[in-house]
Amino acid sequence: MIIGFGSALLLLAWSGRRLAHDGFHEKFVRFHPLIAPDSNYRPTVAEMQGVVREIARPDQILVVIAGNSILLGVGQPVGSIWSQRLQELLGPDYAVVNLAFRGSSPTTGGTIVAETLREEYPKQILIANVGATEAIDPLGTGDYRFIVYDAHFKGLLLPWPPRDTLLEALPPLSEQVLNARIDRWIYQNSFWNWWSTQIGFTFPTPMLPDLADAFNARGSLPDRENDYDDFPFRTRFAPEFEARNMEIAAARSSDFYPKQVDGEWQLDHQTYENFLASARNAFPDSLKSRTLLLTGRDAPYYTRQLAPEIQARDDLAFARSVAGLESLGFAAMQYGKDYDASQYGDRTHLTKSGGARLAADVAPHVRELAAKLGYIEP
Amino acid sequence: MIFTTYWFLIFAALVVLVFRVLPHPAIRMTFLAVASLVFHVHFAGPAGMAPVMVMMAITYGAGMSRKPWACAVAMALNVAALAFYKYTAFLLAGVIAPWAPEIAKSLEPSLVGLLPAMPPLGVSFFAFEFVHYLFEVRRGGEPVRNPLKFLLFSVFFPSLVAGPIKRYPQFIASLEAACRRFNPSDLSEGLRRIALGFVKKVLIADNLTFFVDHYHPHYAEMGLAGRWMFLGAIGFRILMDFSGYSDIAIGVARLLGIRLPENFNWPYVARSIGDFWQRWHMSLSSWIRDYVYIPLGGNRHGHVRRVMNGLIAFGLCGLWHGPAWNFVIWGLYHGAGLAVAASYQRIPGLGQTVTAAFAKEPLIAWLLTQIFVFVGWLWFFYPAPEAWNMIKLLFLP
Repeated sequence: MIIGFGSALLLLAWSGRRLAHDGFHEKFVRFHPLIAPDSNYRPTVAEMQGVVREIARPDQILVVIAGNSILLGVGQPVGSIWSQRLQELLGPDYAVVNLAFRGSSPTTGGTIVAETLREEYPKQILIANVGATEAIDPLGTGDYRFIVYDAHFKGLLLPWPPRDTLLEALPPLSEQVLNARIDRWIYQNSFWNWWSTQIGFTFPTPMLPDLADAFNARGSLPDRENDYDDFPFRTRFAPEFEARNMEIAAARSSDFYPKQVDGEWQLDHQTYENFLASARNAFPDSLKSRTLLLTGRDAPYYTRQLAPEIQARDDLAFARSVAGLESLGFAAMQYGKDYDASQYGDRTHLTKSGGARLAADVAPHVRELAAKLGYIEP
Repeated sequence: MIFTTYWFLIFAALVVLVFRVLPHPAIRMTFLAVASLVFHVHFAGPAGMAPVMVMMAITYGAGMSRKPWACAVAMALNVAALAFYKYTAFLLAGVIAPWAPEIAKSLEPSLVGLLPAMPPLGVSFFAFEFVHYLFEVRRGGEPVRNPLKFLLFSVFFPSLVAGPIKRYPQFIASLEAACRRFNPSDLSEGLRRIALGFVKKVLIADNLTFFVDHYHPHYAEMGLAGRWMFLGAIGFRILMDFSGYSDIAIGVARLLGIRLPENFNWPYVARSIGDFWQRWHMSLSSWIRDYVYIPLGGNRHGHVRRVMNGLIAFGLCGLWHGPAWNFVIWGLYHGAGLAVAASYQRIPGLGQTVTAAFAKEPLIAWLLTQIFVFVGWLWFFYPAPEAWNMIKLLFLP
């Protein structure tokens, strides 16, 4: 019995490792809700590495997209996702892989995968989005820390003291940590993800709109992400949410510039330094130079209703944020300021045309960064 | 579910391994007690553990005294602790407030302020096991003198969270035997039960839960067949969920060589309500029988008293499952079902006809019993007005 149990564990470890390495997400576009934590599916780093290997050749410039739902392309149906448009604009020398997740943060998801593939794909660029004034957590948001733990306990991350300190302080017996520690040896998460992607669901999910799909393999389920263009403009910017969204948009830059003196906005140096310190600590130094951080403005529908001095404050704050990130060694840009109102699907997410506009704005920055890093001729 | 956590799996594997390699029965027993305390403190926290430790100390002390009055007082304290931790909010909001809102309002701040956010882990099981122990000692049973054995009877980790509800003579005998010698067949039988439990719980019950949650909002729009299928899913979900949990508990204990009482014996093949309760949550139903129904007089004082005792016992049984009226209704529903089953034979003519029909066609008895049981699950899972509407829709097109 003990021999049988041990043999089964060895077989599980071997098959999980093998399956993840070879990749099992056919024709991958993005981690839509039915293959994402939204529906109790937690992709492993190994399987996301497999996704990258399926899409990108090592001689291409790998462009990994991390970040949250905005860069995932919520509101843009398959075929019109901004990352697909970016791939078209960059051409075959580049391979764009969208590893963003709803509600994720710039330091987990695709960011971790890119870091773990730094040697296999030496020519790589990471794109992630950050809040213009928001501190960045080196371990990401709670729901997505499992990706950081997965890479950490498999020894795939670079040494980076600010992050290592946090990882060393993790409760050793928390379920996520135990899961990652066991998966280091057994690769059970990769195996079960392969099973539910290729064979059939092993766990129910409330995300399934059609019960007939309940036990089908997740890989056969379509990407049903909404198309914001299907919704009338007033539905997207519904009056009942307007007050709350206006409040958020109006406070967007108040952290950096809490008060005016003689008509001039005064920078809160402490808040700004905290923001920079968090960005400095969030990414290993050696990876900052290949990272393009995007900061997005709120939808023009809201920002154009703001008082002129608030709009001016936003301009100051976003410019200050980009400059600060660049001073740390990142490439950085803002988007959305001069977008058309119809290019936003809600306060933050972009429609198809908004996504195309973002791709068009980002592509030159990617090329510029590729040249700066020596991947292409300037 | 605690049994599906990595912590538990690693913990259980380590405990079984170490328990098996330790050299001496006394060392094994001590280790098992320490492990059970570690388990308890991990999942309940020191604050959740403290009330149980106090209940345990009182029970042990009263048992050692062997004084009937001390055992009675300790029983009352255990019941009071259970009522306080589990039912205070229900008593205030569900019982006192509708009749005397002012009193409820004045009591609420002081009582609710004393309550922890959650009742102590497994408090219902602790209280019932302690009452059983005190009851048996009070009527002449031998108390457990060894504090280590009593500690293990109290906090034995596989049965700590959701039973089965143990009986101390069997448990102590099994514990002593397990600490003395290792039977290799326990290991294979334990693993088999654990695997069975996980299949029931994770593969079947969790998927049925998904089905039930998905269709519940559409119940009224479904056709009759759909509603009965929904009912079937609810019935099998609770069986697979609870019996799966029991299988894992029994299996983990068996890995250690300790036998816990069985909780389920194919309840959905029962041909009468009485038969069902001898197969469903057996450790609870036998407890209710021994420590509520029989002490109330059982069936010894005439038919009317028998029916009343059954209703009281099953009303309490329902309430034990949770502090809400729908659980009480579910218990009374079963009490009423048992009363009917015990009474129809007394009706001249009809009783004999029905009895003969059931004897000739056992399927009829089975079908009626199971319809009764499955319909009852609606009372168990849903607030009473909603459950009543759902029941009506089972019989209306």
